[in-house]
Amino acid sequence: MAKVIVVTSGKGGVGKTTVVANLGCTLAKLGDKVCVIDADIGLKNLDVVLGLENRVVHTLLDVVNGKVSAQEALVKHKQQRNLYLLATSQVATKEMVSPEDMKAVVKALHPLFDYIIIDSPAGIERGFRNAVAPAELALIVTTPELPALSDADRVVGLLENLGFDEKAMKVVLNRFKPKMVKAGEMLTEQDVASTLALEIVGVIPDCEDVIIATNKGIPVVLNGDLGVARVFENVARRLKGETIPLDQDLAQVQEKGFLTFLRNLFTRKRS
Amino acid sequence: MWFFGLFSRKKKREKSRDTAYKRLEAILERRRPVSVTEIVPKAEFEENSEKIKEKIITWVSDTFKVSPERVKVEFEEHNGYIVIITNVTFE
Repeated sequence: MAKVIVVTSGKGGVGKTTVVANLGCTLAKLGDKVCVIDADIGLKNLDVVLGLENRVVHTLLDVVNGKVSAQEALVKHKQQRNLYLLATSQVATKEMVSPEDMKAVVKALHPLFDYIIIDSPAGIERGFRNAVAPAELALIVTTPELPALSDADRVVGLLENLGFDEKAMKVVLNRFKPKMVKAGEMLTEQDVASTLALEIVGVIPDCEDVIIATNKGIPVVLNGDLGVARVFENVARRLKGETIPLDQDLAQVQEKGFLTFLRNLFTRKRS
Repeated sequence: MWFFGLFSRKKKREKSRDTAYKRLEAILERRRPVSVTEIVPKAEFEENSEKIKEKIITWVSDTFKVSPERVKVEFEEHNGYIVIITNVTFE
């Protein structure tokens, strides 16, 4: 039976879809059978980040409307053979799906996977409620900036009202810039953990390779920055129950400078 | 005077992280009391708003020994929540 995780944020543009794609790929690399569901109806992007936009035949809407089964609508990833995508429609609206529909879709996929990861739309409206309805764990993605943290806190309050306790909510701190933190110009991971009063399961560095990976349609953990891949592996292992100190993410982030320079010196010219 | 100014300018500038942390705490503190689990329907409030106003004025007036005319109570709507603002001037 699958563990159902929703990746949400409140504020848009903090990297939810990137986290879903890379976490899905990492769990699949670790040997788990993973399904990622795009619940951002009307503004879908998960298929694009995964490089599967040309392979989508059926969408979440087709499943909800009974045209095909959830299993029939799945798209298998090109490189990670145990990673599947349930894409969504761009020409529909979030109101066409209800929280009960989402629960039914996830229930149908439950026995087939180890992990089901739902990509929530930004905001706290119907799309958010649809995405969180079937989930048992919420990953709240935020950047270390005030608007993102303020919205993340709002989402935490809403999730609490929907029955999520503090163990069922964890934070992914994205676009972390160690140089700025060192200079005292960015909030630290401890600041974020203490203000949101939740456990941080990953500190993901701000990384140009993520943009390059999105351009190519290959998640960065499959073909990019090794430091970022290791951080996502730490996140995946923590979600599986392993105890990995957060310092290990920060070590990847901090050693990035010179090592990345050296690696790029030898590898960039290949692509 | 500019000579002394040279030294006073060297005062340690507050890092933006510290400013951000203070602002974040203030934002979250303002919001947290609003995150209640029990929500009273708006219609119920509208029916009883005058009674609420009278009770607050009476309580403030009795507690602080000020005349009821000096206590102002207003209702405002912020982000879908009704906020009760009570204004009383203390000497």
